[in-house]
Amino acid sequence: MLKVNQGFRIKLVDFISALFVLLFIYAAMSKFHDFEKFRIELGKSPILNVISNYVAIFIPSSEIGISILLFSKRYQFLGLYASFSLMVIFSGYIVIILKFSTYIPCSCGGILQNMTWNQHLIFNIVFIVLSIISILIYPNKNLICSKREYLHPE
Amino acid sequence: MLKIKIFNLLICFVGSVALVIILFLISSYKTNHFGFIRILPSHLIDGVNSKDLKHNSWYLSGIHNHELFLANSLVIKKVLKIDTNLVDTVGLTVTGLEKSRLFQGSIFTTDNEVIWIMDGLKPSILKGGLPHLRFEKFFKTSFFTGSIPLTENSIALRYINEKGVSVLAKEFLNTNVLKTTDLLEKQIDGIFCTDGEIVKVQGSSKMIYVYYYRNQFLCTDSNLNLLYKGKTIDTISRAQIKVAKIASTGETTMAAPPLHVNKRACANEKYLFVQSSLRANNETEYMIKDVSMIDVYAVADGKYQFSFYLPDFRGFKVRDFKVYGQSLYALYDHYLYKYQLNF
Repeated sequence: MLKVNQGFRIKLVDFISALFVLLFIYAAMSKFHDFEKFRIELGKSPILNVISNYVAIFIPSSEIGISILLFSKRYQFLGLYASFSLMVIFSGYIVIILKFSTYIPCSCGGILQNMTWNQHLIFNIVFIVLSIISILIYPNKNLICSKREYLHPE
Repeated sequence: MLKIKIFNLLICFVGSVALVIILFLISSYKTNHFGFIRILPSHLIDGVNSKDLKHNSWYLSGIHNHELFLANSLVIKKVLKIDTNLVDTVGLTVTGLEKSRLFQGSIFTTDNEVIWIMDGLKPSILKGGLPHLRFEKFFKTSFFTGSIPLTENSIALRYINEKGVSVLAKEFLNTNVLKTTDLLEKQIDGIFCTDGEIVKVQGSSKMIYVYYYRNQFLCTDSNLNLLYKGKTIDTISRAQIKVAKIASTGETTMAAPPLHVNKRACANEKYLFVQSSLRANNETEYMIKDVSMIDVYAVADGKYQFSFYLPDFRGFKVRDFKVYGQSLYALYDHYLYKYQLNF
């Protein structure tokens, strides 16, 4: 496809991955830092209150898990898909909160909680676009390699 | 290759969106149907003003013409009038009690300039007019355990009938006719298990009976015809109390600490406010340590709306509250606190 320099592509993908790792680790840390508060805030959420205890564990754990995937060369591509999915989930959550909920709770930690929900949505969409870009320009050579390994483990 | 990537992205996208939607549907289903989840929007109430009443024997008796009336549970003659901004207070004395020799009883101030004293132990009911707080009419009734004024000439009461079971009835004071109902449903003993609060709906002739020990309330019209049975959000459908009879004295009493479900209730024109004693799944002990949980239901159909917290004030818990229009007045020991409702 694109005749862009292979090395540049790899660098860009690595850069975007690093951005995601930064975001996820920061978000996970701020959640674990005041886990009780995070859990309580999630409990007030109109969408998650029923399963808030599980979600409270699942969200920061998966953020850390995805960061690990993004770090490793071998599973980076998988990590990018996971990042994309997680960001879509977050954005979908925000859209539902904004559109269908009678009230809007707050449950983000750190600097992220200073954003309004609309800013948050835009922030998420930027990251979604970044993940799409990184997936699309991901060097096919690496991909085929890893795919072959995946399809034929031996 | 590009096609596969785009296809994968699409699958991820659809899957993620579906996951969120499923979560949304599950939780809205659970919140509306089974679970005991409190919906807690923020900024439902704002504190407006507070007033030191000096004594903790004052209770809210009613409102008339932008003036709040508080009666005193120790000195029946004393009434305090406070403007709704909680600035000016006027101490008043009721008159016309001489004949009745009442020393206790609940005072009700109603919106149609009528003031009542009801004492179920004496048992007697006094009716008077507002501007001078003078009681002129005196009615003798049978013993009752709870009452509220319904119309200008009738009251709702709860009394214990000859079978030893609590019943709700309407008393027409002029004709002395008692219309009994079978609204209260016995679950255990018929007295404790059906205990609850009779709530007057402001600006309407409806009456609501909120059970203390089960997740139910009844809404009736002014003739005590059942309009609907409402459910509070918790799951305690059977009263969890133990009742014992003390043979030597013939007394019936609670044998174990009861599981309180609804502590107290009041209603304005649109909403029923129930103070719940139970913690929801989405609350922690820590969250509700310094607050009182108020659950809001629509008077029209009894459907749960949302909840809010009345925070403790200077270390005191709410001991009584009433809602008139868009204002909620709460009593904390000897403080009166006004909140503005934003819904």
